[in-house]
Amino acid sequence: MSNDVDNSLNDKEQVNPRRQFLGWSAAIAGLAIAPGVTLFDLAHGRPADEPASSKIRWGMLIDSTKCASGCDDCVSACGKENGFSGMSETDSQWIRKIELKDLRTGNSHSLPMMCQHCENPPCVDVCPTGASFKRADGIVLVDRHICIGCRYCMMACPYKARSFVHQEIENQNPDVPRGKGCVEACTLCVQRIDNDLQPACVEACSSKAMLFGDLNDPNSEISKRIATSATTQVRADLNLNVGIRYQGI
Amino acid sequence: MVSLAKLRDMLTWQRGAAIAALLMASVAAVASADAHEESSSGRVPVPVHPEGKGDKCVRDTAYMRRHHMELLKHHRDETVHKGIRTTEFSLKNCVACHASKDTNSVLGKNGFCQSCHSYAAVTLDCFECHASKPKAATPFHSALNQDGRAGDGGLASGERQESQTTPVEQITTSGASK
Repeated sequence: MSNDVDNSLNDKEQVNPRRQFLGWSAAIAGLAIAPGVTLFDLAHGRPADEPASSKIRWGMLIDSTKCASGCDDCVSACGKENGFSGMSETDSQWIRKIELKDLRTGNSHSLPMMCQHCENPPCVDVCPTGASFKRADGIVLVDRHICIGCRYCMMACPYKARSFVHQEIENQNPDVPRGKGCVEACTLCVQRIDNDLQPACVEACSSKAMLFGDLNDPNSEISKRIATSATTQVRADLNLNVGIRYQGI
Repeated sequence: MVSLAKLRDMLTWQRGAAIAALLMASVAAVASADAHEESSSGRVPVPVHPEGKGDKCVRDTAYMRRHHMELLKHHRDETVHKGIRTTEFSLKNCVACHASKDTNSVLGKNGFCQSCHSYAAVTLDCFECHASKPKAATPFHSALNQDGRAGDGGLASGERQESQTTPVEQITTSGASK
């Protein structure tokens, strides 16, 4: 027994450089079995080097009967994730709370309103530079590298979803670059979706009034809910086929 | 008095010597170029390169000096439009690695990006939108308190409470007086 221990110690002392090299290569080979295949799960629904696919259409279902009046968890979570405080009048607003009131009955309820991520987005139609675009998985975005800040898209949007950045911005979230002179809107927290997380507002909603998921997948929770209960698209008359649906309005 | 021919001879010899001296000087300059680049005490404010956090860059230094902007531009289009989020050529990773240990930023007089860009007189506008500091382990907005609101702006608590209320749109349906 003691001999064995001694031998192993001796081995350790006289490490052959070639053997060491072999050991290292084995370790590296263990980490990456083949290109794109690793032993460790990187917690991605989609590998980082794979583009977003049109097989998925991201959407959201908002149950306004659950949405608490006066609660702004979603709004503040959005500001925290994307880097605006909502303190100044000209600050961007990617999501806002709306109170709906029926004057006849006095019934009132509350809901969050943001970019509806249309299938046929008017903002993309009017953009003169191609900065406004729809990603393959249905998320409507602004490419700030191309945006010239003309604000046509703000005029075109029926949901008042877009904001213009008027002032210089500092201390951005490294995942959410934002700067003066560009139009911006809800990105469905694309930086989080690409890392297999839910949008910040959905995660923050304490009354579970927001449900995020893939509208193209018949087995997703959101598809099942939409198939079984009555949901509404805001301004359905415009035929934009929005990705955000509401329940109870 | 010196004859014209002799004068011409003298000038030729002087010109030859001058050319030789120039050649030698230029060889010496090329040889010491690398050494000069690292010092910022000279007359010309040369770029400084704060030590990065990683072992080595994704490509060799000579390639990166000439082509980093192409790598970044290609990667930005892939990321924004297609959602490809590999880390090798992402600006976020450049910043994470190259941020100066003193200022934790790639900007500033001795910042990795800015010092070289100002030396080369090339506008650097990445950081008008992109963060020039790596993502902190703590919530990125140090000025934000738990509510996600900018805190401690010198407001009295009552005033702050008032300004914190989210502007709520009032929309009336069906029975609206319109």
